[in-house]
Amino acid sequence: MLRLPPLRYEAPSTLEEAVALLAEDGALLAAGGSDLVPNLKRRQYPTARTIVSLRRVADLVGIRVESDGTIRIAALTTLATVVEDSRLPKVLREAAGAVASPQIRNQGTVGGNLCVDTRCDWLNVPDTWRQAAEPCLKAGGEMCWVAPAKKDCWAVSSSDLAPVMVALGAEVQLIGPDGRRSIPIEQLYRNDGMAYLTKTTEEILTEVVIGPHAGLRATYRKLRRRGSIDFPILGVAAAVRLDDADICTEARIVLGAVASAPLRVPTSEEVLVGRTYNAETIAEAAEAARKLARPLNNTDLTSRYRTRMIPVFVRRALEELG
Amino acid sequence: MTTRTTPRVRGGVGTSVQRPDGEPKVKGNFAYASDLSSEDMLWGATLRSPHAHARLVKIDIAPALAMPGVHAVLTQDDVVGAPMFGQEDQDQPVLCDGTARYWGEPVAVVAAEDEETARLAAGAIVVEWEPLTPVDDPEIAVEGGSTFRDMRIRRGDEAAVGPVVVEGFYETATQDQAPLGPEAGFAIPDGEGGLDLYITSQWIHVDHRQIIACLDMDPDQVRCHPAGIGGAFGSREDISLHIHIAMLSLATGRPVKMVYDRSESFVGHVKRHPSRMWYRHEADQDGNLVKVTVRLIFDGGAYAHTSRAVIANAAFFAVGPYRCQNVMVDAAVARTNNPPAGAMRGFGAVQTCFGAESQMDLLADALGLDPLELRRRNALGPGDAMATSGQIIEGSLPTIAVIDALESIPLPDPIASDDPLLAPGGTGLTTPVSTVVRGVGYAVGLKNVAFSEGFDDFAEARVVMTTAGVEVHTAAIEVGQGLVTVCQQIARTILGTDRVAVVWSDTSQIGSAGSTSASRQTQMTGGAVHDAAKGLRDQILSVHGGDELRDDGVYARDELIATISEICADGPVEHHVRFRHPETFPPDENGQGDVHAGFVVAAHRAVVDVDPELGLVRVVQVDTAQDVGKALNPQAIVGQLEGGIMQGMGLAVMEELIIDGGVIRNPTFTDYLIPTFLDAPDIETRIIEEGDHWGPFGAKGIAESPTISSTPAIVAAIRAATGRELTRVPVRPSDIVGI
Ligand SMILES: Cc1cc2nc3c(=O)[nH]c(=O)nc-3n(C[C@H](O)[C@H](O)[C@H](O)COP(=O)(O)OP(=O)(O)OC[C@H]3O[C@@H](n4cnc5c(N)ncnc54)[C@H](O)[C@@H]3O)c2cc1C
Repeated sequence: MLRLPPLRYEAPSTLEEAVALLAEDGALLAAGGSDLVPNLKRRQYPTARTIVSLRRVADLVGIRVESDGTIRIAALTTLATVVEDSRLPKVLREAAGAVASPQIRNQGTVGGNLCVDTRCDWLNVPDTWRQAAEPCLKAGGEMCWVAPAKKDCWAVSSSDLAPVMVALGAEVQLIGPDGRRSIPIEQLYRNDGMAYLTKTTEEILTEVVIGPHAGLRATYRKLRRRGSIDFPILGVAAAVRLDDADICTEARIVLGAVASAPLRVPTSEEVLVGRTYNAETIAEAAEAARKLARPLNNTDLTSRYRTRMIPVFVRRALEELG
Repeated sequence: MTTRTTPRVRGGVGTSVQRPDGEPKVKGNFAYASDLSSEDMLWGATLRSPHAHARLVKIDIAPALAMPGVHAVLTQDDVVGAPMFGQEDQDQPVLCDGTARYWGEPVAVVAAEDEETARLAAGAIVVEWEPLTPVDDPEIAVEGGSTFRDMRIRRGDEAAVGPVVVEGFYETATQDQAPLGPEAGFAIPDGEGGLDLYITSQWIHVDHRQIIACLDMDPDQVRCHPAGIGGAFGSREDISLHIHIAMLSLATGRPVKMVYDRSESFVGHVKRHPSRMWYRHEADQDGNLVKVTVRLIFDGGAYAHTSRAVIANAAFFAVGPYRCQNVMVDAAVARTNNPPAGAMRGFGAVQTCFGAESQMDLLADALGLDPLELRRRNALGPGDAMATSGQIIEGSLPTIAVIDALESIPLPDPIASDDPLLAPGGTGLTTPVSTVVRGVGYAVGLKNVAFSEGFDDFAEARVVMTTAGVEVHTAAIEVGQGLVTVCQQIARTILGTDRVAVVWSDTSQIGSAGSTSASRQTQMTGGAVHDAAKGLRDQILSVHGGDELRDDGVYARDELIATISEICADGPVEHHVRFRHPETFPPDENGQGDVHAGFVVAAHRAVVDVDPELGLVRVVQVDTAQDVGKALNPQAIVGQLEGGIMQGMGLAVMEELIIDGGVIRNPTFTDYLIPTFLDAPDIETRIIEEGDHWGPFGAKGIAESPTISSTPAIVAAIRAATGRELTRVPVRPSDIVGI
């Protein structure tokens, strides 16, 4: 059995204590632990010393829907809770329901999902494998095995909720040593497999906020081989607003699992905005998405296949919203 | 074998008796090998080769030995007996002998106070390697003459020609048995220089033989006990950690436990041979097969294991359950630096069934015939000659009956389900129902039962009558397939009592039962239990002069004449049997002869929904008709049929170890995909009972059949839905999309 390395476990009861503990060397934050624990067992975090669990912090669980339609989801709310909450938009419930399996959705949290570590076939193997080859960049080495010519890490953003939250224009609340701040979720992510979040390691995501969104049509589709469990190898979240004449007034198209961050596709969005929403513009927008993303061979199936599926996926998502 | 049955006994032959291990397994109370422990035990860990092929220049164990809590660090130098082990050929060193021949080959083993220390100590051993170029292409190995076995079958006229010709090249990828229980073992010193080993095994006697040879110990100094197994499917037919824990325990004088983690398990056991197959079928205008020509190259990896038997099976079943006068097969199993291959459910017949059945579909197409009609026209049956070996089929072989029964199962609703979770893509909601294309495909598969080619194949059993009930003693391994109920049911039926317990014996208590593989235990150990129970009954009846044995004693004309206490007045009464199946013979230089002991046939029909644009498949339904001889436990049969279909489906659409330069790139259950419950199709089963010429009550072993023809049936269904050729399994989305 893969075992955890020896670790200290802390479960503070306030966010301030948690932030202080996270400032220590080798401290890692745990919510549901469904991503953190397998990664620790595969020894992907060799400097880990302390696990700081948010379990005992009060008020980090629950969903509030305000009178103007604003949705506030506390970070430790489980994915299962999101799936079951009929007040939430269908797109959110479906995206949460596409994550992993029922057992993991009972354990995994919204905050953990939004901060889930980037993945790569070369990285997410036990340490015997990583040590047998030279360690890659993210494992503390000098080179990337997926794109040896490059000096960057290409580990893949694999969250199902992240593209949806970006498409819905959500904001996240963070608390850190310097207090609280709120940023658009798009700004939380960085297209860098190693430093994939812009926040500091001491900062804790406390809440995700989706502002009023009446009239916004949104959907999420997720590609992978099996019917469930697996991480996405391609995701598409799309949100559009149409006026009475079927003119598209707003469009956000976001790809998941093709880069180290959820990827907005402005080329496709620009095709749509200001034009009649019909088969022709949809096809054009779908085609425009092909040029942007460059998935590599570091997930299940080939990059060639995934690249080819991007326009198909975008088209299907947009068709559903018509 | 006909035996008068006593209908009044409960839980006898033909009833769906529940397995005693079922409930504890579901509740989590079952003791698996990995659950064994003792206060004073040490943990073992293994250092493995980080190269697929390399010379071991220098190894320094001092840093590991110096670590607190480390009790032993052993290398090949510490092997006191035979340096090599292996079931057929002893060609694998216990630990690396100076050259590593595959990635993950054990190099050194460590015993320490706890698991983490053992792991760190293994990592602290300093090894200097000189990497060598690995041979990872089996065709190159075969060209260079590096093979474990070359098989040649020449039957009939090589010059024969048929007017209708179809040709194809087929490939199957490496499939893993993926048993949920990883390799685990527990060694306990007996205080007198010997050992008790609790191991996960499919055949403890053959493990015992290899273990004592490498330890240089007398047979009675080592006792191999069967420990709780979480699935096997062939992966436990060969030795993994067995000799290592024995060495560590002897070196330290302490109990030693070792458990592989999931990824180590992937490199720590043999897997299904990947294959390349070239096929040419020639037929006349009516669809009768005239000639079949086949070339096979299987990759056996670094060491022999059971490769020689696997390639023979592949060759003998290369045509399937069909008659054909002229058959030419050239088969080779290559020695490479890839992970060693060996036994897996279906044992060579899985690969060639995919090739042969794909060909039968091509032929049906070329002839404009219904695929099942073509199969009926060529169906092999009793009295016919095997297309490959020429052996005359002696027992039952209801090929046409299974095809007919399969066809009679109603097809599912032709419309794709409107539950989006049951569309291709599942919870990913990828696929509008309107885009789904339905396909239906068929395949029929043939398999032998028990060991072949003149192997001295036997099973021992002892049946004991005591005042408390009947005991069945056997060293056969229950891997979860339900052997325990089969043994109980047979003994109950013959001895007229439902009070029957199976006692799993160690190697010192009874002779070999042979391997739990080759679909053989129901027929072999079942046959031994049958004959031992019958012998015991005859013995008791002759002593006491009655005509029937019942729960409370011997009856004569419905009157009790001797009670169980009277029968056992001088202690328990027993009968011991060594059971053998009909003799088999090695093939001649043309691959001809009576090489097999018995045959079993099954047919599958698959219904799939495909999203052609994304290349995603949802297997909607897989139905099967299975030749079983006699259904000893119908529920257990259905369990085997359903589980086997899931494994066959895995190979059809997702299961593949990705091996690159000899390295397994997906050694986790995150990346080695096996079907989940959501992927599972509906399954309808039909059981065909035509008693065989040997085996208890005419029963046949059926464990492998469901895995054999399910794979090609599913691929045929995807072809029907998409029009793609699909010559490789698993079929990937990109194959369906055509990129
Ligand atoms: C078999 C399997 C399949 C999976 N499939 C999917 C899938 O299909 N899609 C998918 O998206 N995920 C998948 N996951 C990953 C994971 O289970 C989910 O993303 C889950 O939602 C993570 O939540 P968690 O609370 O368990 O996170 P944790 O494991 O506790 O944390 C994940 C990461 O986020 C950080 N983190 C957690 N909470 C916070 C916070 N409040 N503030 C700042 N940082 C935080 C942690 O430090 C850690 O780095 C899968 C995991 C497994 C084991």
